Amino acid sequence: MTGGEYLALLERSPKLAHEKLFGEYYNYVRTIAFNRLRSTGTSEDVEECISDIFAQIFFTFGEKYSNGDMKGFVGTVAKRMSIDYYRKLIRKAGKTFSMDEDGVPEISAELDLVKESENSELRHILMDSIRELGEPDSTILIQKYYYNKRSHQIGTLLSMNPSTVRMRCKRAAEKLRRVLENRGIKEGMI
Amino acid sequence: MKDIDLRILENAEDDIVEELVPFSPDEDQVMKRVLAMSEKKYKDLIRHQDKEKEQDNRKETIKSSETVVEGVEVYHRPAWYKPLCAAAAFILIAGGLGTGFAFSRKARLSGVSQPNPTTTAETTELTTEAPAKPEDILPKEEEMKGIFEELFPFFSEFSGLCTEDYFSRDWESINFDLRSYDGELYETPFYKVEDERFSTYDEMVEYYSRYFFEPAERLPYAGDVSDHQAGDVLDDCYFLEYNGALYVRGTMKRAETQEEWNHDILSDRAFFVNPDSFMWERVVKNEENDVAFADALTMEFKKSDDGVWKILSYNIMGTQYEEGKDYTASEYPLLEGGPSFRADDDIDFDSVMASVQTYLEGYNENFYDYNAHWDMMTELPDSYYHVTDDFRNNNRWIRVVLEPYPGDDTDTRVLYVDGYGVVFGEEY
Repeated sequence: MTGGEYLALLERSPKLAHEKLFGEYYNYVRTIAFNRLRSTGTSEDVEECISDIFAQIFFTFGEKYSNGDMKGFVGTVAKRMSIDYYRKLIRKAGKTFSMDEDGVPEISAELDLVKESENSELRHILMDSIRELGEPDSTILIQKYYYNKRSHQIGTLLSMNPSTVRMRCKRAAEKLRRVLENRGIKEGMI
Repeated sequence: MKDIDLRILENAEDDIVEELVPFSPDEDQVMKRVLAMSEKKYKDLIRHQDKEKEQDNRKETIKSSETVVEGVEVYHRPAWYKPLCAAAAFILIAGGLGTGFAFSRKARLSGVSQPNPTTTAETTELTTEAPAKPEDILPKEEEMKGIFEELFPFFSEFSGLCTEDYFSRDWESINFDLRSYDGELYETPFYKVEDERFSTYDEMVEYYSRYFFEPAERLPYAGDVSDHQAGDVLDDCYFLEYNGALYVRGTMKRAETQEEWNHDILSDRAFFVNPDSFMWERVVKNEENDVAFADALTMEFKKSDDGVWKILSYNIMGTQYEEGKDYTASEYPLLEGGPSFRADDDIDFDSVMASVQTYLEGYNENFYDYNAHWDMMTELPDSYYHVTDDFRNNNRWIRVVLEPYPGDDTDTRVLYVDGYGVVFGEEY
């Protein structure tokens, strides 16, 4: 749905327009919020954050964005608000630190940039390798090792028996290791 | 062997993040809940914005003029309560009722339509032919409930024709690419209908005409596409004919069943009853993942020329369930604004509701702080607050009832509006 189409639908029925936009971008927004908050917030925090994001999108999306990339707009709002929410949670949990305090790690900008660049390369190789496994194995691995989902939960999601999920997961993990090794990525590098 | 560690994917780039979709088995319920929360927060944002605007306007008004609203004393009634019900209301099935309550933000902010200049000329016309409604010719509650229950199975089947409750995945099928209104293409299966009652679209429409008014309006049809091949692009549709047979689109939706509307009934009543039409609303409580909803099915019925009751429209909406609330207390349906069968064709409901909003703004009140209902009225009460003589005096007016939400410390307001959108009276 383009921005113009969304606005046209909004004229006819705001509720339907919101539902359509929500349905189209829910997974995208949820993924952004979840990845930002997964180490800090609860699932309720993630839901709160997602609803804040959509409320903001409903409220601010207007004519001036109608010719632009709607996904870009949604992604920008989602990222900014997820970061804000993350900061809020950190503050609430008392996890802030003062730059005046002792023990603040010294930052080497050059080193971080190199490390981040390496990590970015590794992430893309890893995702390419996971993608190469095909479905449903790639989904099983991500749900199992990234989201720590149990086999029966993944089974429900994919309409598979939990024992089948376990078996496929084991084989897919072995295959992934082989694929990564072929690409020069050894255990411990990731 | 060590487990795979994918933590490196945290804070990944956009292209990777998009592939890390977190699923959960109860995703549908979560989505429903989050959408309701988003709508509520959105409306809070609107209210907040409106309040600021109102304050600005008030300051401006005080500066520029002493009297803005003629004949009406301006006073302020605080609206503390943030309405939960309406904000959390969501449409489960989009109905066909043109209630006129679906405002866009733009419409809300655009102000009131001015009444047609002919209004003045008509003020002296007084029609005395208010239709009589003797109680004995109105259908009784039991009779109406019987009609609702008798026609429910046809509603269930009709609204579920594109679900597996009707078609079978074993039926012969053909795939087409459907172009949705947003331009995207979706590969969609269509199943060859195996139904002894009908084998063409016209026969299907004729069959359901026994139970519905204008059933074709709810059965989007692509026509005969025999000159197409599987995989061709078609416009969005739910039925088509191909090589002489009727095909139905396969969807993942499910039909509404009698069982799910027969449990935990909170309210089961008729509204807007006329000799030949009425609305029936059944409200049931549904609990999903610790969140309780009050789901309302409203169906409008009308008697055909040959005296047979048929379904005029249906609509399903839901809102958050409120513990302790008496769902049978209101004289209006839970979520439906008003009856479609009572409105005159020449009434512009957008203007009517925009006028109501402007009228309320004169009292520093907001339309969205109320749960609005409407009905047609033909007679004015003996005493009411008369706002203006400049209105269309033809005994076809709209009575707009504005009910405060639970916990809101304001009174119900009842306004009288003419077909052009002039608020000409208010109940004391």
